[in-house]
Amino acid sequence: MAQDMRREAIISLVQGVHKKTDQLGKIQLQKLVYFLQEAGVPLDYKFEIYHYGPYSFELADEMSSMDSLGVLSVAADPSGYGFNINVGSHGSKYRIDKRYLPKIDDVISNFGADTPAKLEVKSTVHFVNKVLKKQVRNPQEKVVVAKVRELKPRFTEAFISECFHELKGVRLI
Amino acid sequence: MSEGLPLSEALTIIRDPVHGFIKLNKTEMAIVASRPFQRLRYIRQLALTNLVYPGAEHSRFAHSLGVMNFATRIYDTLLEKHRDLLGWNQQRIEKNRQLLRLAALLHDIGHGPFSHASEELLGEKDHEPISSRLMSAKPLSDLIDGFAGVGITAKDVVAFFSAESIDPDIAFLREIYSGELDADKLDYLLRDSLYTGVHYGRFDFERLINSLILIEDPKGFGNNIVAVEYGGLHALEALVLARYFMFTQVYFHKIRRAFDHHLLEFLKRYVGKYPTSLSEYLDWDDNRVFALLQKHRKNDDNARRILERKPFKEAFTTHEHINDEQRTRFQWMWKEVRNNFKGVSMFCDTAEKSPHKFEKVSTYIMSRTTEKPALVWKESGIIKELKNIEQYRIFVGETHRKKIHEFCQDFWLNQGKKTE
Repeated sequence: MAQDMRREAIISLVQGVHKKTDQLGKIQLQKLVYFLQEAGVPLDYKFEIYHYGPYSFELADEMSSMDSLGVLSVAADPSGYGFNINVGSHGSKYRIDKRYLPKIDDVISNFGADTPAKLEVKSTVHFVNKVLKKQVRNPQEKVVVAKVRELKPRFTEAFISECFHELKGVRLI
Repeated sequence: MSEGLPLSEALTIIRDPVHGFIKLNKTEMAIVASRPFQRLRYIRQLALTNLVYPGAEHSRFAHSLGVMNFATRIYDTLLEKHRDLLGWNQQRIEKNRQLLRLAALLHDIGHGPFSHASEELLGEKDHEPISSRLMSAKPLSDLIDGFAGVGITAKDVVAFFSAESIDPDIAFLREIYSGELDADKLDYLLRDSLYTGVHYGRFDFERLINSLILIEDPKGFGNNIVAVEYGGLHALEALVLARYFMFTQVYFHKIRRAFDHHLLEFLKRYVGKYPTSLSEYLDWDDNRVFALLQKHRKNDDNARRILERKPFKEAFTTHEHINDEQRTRFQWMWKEVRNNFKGVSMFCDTAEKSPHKFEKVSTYIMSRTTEKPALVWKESGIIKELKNIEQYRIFVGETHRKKIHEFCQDFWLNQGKKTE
């Protein structure tokens, strides 16, 4: 069932990230799911550019449902801003299909330790590159960076460019 | 009467019970006058809810005008307060305002008959793909291109709804159209409340709109996000409560849910899928479905139940907020009911997947104590206490209702408990 598979994927990501860091918020999880879907796991979420880059409203609803079912635990961060996500008391029954495990591992190893800001920019760079690719075969780095800068004016060109190269390094661009 | 005055030449004024007067310019009026838009008059906003609340005869037509009006008011409020923050020149302000108005006006253009009740027949997740196709085709594309003077073509409006849009202005405009405090929600709550007569859906929208501000994201990512001034807290609480009550009193009303079921079953049998050709699709509205219902009144049980207002009745319901144990108990019970009453026509209705999230609203409000943004559900005692609605029900025809009701009562109270 598609919904179960989505939940399995989300739980697997949450478990994986917590091996690397204590901090996991809603935005980070959105981006990790984005990259997992881009890696070919058929989760069928519709991502669009929102505040912090690619975002799926359906996924946000899913997280909220999972929270109320006790599958995830979404608690307010002590800072007062944002949330901390953990596996809930009913989350352990969800196990993702083994064939997707390598992809989960890839996403965790590539992005699991990234800060929310870095994930925001990386996912936006990836999204913009993907859209531009439909217009030209190989969008140039400077074109992608300029477009991301338009969307995220507070980030420096150097930082966006660094994200571009890191994505290239793991062959996602 | 006002001949010669450019303003009156350019504007048409439509009286609306929620908004008072809604003003449209000449090109917007041409869109409203087009066949695809006029079709919205014949698509009820709340499907067969009029069989529960007789006043609920309102259509997607007026709702679309209303969303355009609210979107404009939110936009104007934010621009008035934050023109410097956005740094847009006059031309960009006007273009974006018009683009937002068009997107809001056309957001429901592809809705199928009876709104969401028949969405399953679209062959897509929702009505958005067909909406985009309608905006890209004549007559709408030609009419939208009439805004080329301010830099807008049909492609821009389609891009507004496209998941692949990478335009920064559109990302901002989308928040007004589909964020947590969006124009669509404001209009449907107030409109549905007015027409059903269910007053719980009312809230002080004037106060709320005037309390909207743009703030720099407190998470430090440098984005501008829509937030609420402290003075708007109670208006915002009222909106969240309005939504909560409208779900419990109207959208999840047991008889409405039963009619949604009868309608969908009927349509799946006699229509299957709506046509993919735009011109043929536009021929489908509530009236056409009613004609089909009439045709099958004598040979189809669902058609008869709708037209004679004899829906399946509720044989069992959980309360509105169930816990894990109750959810498991219900699922077990439903299995047992089907085993014990084989051949009896019935259905189970679950509100689990419906969009009714009230918990942990991510909107920020300016705290009076710290003068910094705070998550509204932490700042508001009322919102903090709200739980998701999750309700399961069993519906069945009158003949077997009593027996199934008794079976469920017994199971729920006794048998289901034994294995805990």
